[in-house]
Amino acid sequence: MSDHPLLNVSLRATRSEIGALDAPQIVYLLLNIQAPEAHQFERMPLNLCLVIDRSTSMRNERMDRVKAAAGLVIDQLTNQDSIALIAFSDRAEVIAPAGPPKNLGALRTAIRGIIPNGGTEIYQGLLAGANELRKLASDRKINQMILLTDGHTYGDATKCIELAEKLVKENIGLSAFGIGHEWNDQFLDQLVAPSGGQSAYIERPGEILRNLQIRIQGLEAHYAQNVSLALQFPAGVEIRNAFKLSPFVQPLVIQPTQIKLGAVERHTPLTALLEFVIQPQLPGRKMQIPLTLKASIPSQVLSEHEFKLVYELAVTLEEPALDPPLELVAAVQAYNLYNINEKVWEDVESGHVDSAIIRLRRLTTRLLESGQTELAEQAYAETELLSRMGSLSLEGRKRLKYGTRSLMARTVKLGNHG
Amino acid sequence: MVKCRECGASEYEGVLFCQECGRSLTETVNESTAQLPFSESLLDPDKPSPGQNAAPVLEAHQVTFVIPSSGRRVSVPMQKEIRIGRADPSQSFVPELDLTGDSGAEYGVSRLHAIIQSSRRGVALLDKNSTNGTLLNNYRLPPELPYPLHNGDEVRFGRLLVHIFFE
Repeated sequence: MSDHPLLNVSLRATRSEIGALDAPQIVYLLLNIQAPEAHQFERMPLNLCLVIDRSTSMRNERMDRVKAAAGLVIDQLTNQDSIALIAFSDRAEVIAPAGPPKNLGALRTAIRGIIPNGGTEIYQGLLAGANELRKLASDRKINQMILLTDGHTYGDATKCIELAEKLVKENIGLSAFGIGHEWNDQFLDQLVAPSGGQSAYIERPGEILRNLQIRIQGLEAHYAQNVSLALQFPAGVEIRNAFKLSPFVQPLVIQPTQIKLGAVERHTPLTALLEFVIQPQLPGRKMQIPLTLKASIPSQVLSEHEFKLVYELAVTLEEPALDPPLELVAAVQAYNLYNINEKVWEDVESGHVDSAIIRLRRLTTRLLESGQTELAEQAYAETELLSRMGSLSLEGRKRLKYGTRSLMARTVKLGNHG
Repeated sequence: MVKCRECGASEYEGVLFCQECGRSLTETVNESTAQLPFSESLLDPDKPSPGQNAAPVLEAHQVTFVIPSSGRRVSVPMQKEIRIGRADPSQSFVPELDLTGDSGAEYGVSRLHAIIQSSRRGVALLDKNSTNGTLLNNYRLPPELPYPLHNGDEVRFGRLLVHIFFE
């Protein structure tokens, strides 16, 4: 473990040795970044914007629950925080401009006045939200836009992602919640990737409040933010997959020079699973793989502070030792199940239904073997549907995708208990 | 490269689980996948194994057997007795679930290995005094005693793993 006074960073690897082979080899690393226990915590003010989809499909229970959740979120804020509310369909409307939540009655009235109607053009909502957030944004605040939507956006997905990339440079993060099962999960993953934010599936309207509350509690607990891992490795070493396991499960995007990891919360470590490919190496060599992190710690007025540690990997002519830690094996296994499920969807989209059926059957078996009966039953039901109809249900896709994702979160808990 | 023993896919050295079928590729890592580290079963060792979480099957019109090693899935209409084993042409014996083509002999499946019984009391599995025994959710069944089945139960006839689903 590398103990920095401001951040504790540790690594666990599946191996400390690799063989001198003439083919690439794989090493998995679990990177753990934690706020120091003894550190005096200062809650940073929140600069929040809720961007609410008010398209026609949001009517009835979905909108009722969103309104109730928005009202309760406002109640939780302090006068040092600020809040803006945007409602959008095919155009956006500023329901409440950015400001401290002083006049709760007026805010509640504004929320009650949102009436679902129209299509879904997410860019309109995000742009209006960005403009409100920019008014009060600062490096000494947690600036965050939270999108709540239940549908696909049409024709403006690229613009949305470009905006998210722009916002991260202005220290504004983005989280997105998909309600129901008709929204585009790949798009929401891409949208939150630039800031290392969260995208999550809310299956039932009754779960909206809980999800929103957990997210805001996480933001309130931000200790370090804009944490990134520099991709500066020796020749023949690269990361081919990266996934965040904590404080929430989220695929990480491997950019040309860095991976945006997101934020470290006060009591919850930031944990990421990294899959390295090591090209053939000469025997006897002791490889030094540097892991350079950058993080901003607003309470310490530190911006892009560097934290370094080194992972050592010996190249041996002997049979390399393999004794991976249990939680790392569990994380890789869960990640593997998630990936098998993702490949099912890729197969279906590219018309390879037979291949998708085989994958789903295998996934069913693995889920059953690991005691995930409910997910296994869903996988089995989808296999049947695929065999009969040649397609999967949107609901089943979401349940399997986010269900297998959630298995990864459990592996972190396993490590913490151990 | 490492070759998966279940599906034959090739993976780089160091890959822990086959990316095609999910099987463990390392001897040291959970050869028995029934106790995967993240599973609830391990976190709470006293919890019953997967199929026993559900209610026993009282009525079904079809039973589906999923055989992971061969990738085969067989659906059989529910009847009073479903025989499980390997066909014996010399005796004109063909069980309703014939595991010959799933390398049944190599996995230690007897000719008449077990039966699934359907009665007013529900659906049950009964080992027919087989040579290598029957495991229901990792519990070895005493011969000739019916044990209630649940949707999604995991059964090993000898060493051959079969998942059982009911409709």
